[in-house]
Parts: sequence; structure tokens; C-alpha cells
Amino acid sequence: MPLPPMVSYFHKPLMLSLEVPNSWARAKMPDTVLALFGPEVDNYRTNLAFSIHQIDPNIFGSFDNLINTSYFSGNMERSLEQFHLAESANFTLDGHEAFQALMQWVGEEDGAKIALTQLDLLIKVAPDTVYEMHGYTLRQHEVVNIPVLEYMLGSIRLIAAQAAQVQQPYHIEINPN
Amino acid sequence: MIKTDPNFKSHFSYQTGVSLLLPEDWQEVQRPGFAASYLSTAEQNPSPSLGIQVFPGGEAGPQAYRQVAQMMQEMPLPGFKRLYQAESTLDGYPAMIFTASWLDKATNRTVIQHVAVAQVDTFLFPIIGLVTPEQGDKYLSIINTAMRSIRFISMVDDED
Repeated sequence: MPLPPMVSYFHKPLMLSLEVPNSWARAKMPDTVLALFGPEVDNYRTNLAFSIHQIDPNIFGSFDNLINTSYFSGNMERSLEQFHLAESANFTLDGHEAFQALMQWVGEEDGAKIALTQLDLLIKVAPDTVYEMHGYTLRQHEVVNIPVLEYMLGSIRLIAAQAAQVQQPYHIEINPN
Repeated sequence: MIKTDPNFKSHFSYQTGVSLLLPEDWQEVQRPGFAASYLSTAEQNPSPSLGIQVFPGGEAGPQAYRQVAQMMQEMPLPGFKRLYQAESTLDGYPAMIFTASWLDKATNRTVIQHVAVAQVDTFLFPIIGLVTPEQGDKYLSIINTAMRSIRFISMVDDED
């Protein structure tokens, strides 16, 4: 299934760049720094919400503790109906520690049950700061939409808030025009 | 699963507003004539490089990138030979991409340059990769991947 046409998007408050389908739009949502919404299909908009989580840099393993508490402590199973953690992995994203989890559960909207698939990404962007991203789609459209969310999240680049110190060249032989 | 290549890392230059992906061993260095410049540290004598210039196109119009690419190919470089040229886009902006070889008089060695000239509104971005013919098989691909990964980032906050 080909991905939709993408455009790059830079969000200055998070100093983060990513690729977003050109049919998506930004929206304001409570408790999120950034929320992106796809077109409405079957009365639901696939969406991706960004928030910031502070961790204690003085406690060894704070990031792992956050992952364990959020995904492996049974909290999700207790609070979400028919919760199922399909897959999860630690990995590196743009040079930063990261964690991803793909989940399925059943939610409720306006009294109706809706089966959802959720893709989460946590990135440790600083010793005391984790960016949390939560992507949601209707389970009936996960085959199409989860690859889109995976692509969007995999395209994330973290832009340094200050210019990096540039090295002097140690060896140059050939010259440009 | 989210797929990333752990061997590539993004670099961002405040001088150019350009973000791009390069292998881990590349580092940003200062080089005359470039607003941002990157070198591979894995190979030397010479090191494959990628340099970015940025300058205002002024009143030159929306086709200025073509004119600049043409001017770069008309410079009197010994043994200049164009190997490839194509109209393309970088991050959705129009660009002319060409590959050429010429003889560097200082070292008496052939140089291959892979160039993209992109135009973002009225600003022009010549992006120049340089390798030797021996490095071409490996590094032209890396330089082309880096060029294709370019994002032009404006620090203007459009939050509200």
C-alpha cells in the first residue's frame, strides 16, 4: 500500500521536524503540545498527539522505569477494555533512546464501542525530558493507517536548540568551484 | 514497527536552515565558501564532502535555480564534463541536480561533483558534494541520499 504524499513539518516549541501526509491538519487539543489529524473516515480521524513528560535525571533508569510503568505494569490492561500489547521494542531514533509499542483496545465514543489500534513512541530527548507520541486509528483501517503513523514517527528529527560547535577541517585537498 | 537506520543521524545548520541525514562518521566543519559543510571522517586524502551555500535570489524569479545550475556548469574548469542532469525537487521545492567531473589543478586529480541547486521562495541553495572517482561508487550514493533527505526549516513560529 503506497504512502500518501508527504510534506515536512517543523514544530518550533518541540524543536522537532517530521513528515506529515499533505491531507492532515494541525489541531489544538487539551494536554497536548501538538496534535495532528487525518481526514475523517467512518466518523473517525486518525490522529497523532505529542506531549512532554519530565523524568528525574538523577535516578538511574528513569526512562526504563517510565516504559515499565506505562506499558508493562498492568495499568493498561486494567484501564482499557480488551487491551492487547501486540508488539514493542527499544530502538534508536535520530541518535536518541526510543521505545515503541503497538496496542489494540476497545474505546467508547458517544456511547458506541470503537475498536482502536494505538501506536506509541517515547523519545528521551534530554536526561530529564521524554517526548511522548500517541497515534490512534480505527482497527478496521490499521492495515492502511499504521504504516502511515510508523512512517511519520520514523521521520522525526530533533533539532538542537542551539547551533552545534563546528569543527575546524582537519584535511581538505579538493576545492569547490 | 517504526523503522530507522541507526547509522544515520540528522544535522541541522542554523546558518542555512537545512536539516539533512548523514552517516555517523560525518561531521560538520568550517570551510570557506560554504555556510555549512560536512566531511566524512572515515576516508581521507581527500575526504568526501558536502557543502551548502545560501544566497538571496533577489528579483531573478522562480527559475533562478536553473540559471545558477547553468552558470556553475559554464565555469572554466579544466576537463569539465557533465555526466548527468535532471530537474527534481528537494523537500517539495524545485531543484536542478547535476553530476560533473573536472580536473583539480592543485592536485592534478579528477574530481566528481554531485550538485543540487534548490530554490526556496527567493533563496537559492547550491549544495555541492565532492568525491574522487575512486570514492564515487560508495560516496555518491551517500551524498545523493543526504541531498534527498534535506528539509528546509524555518525558525518562524507559526503556532498561533
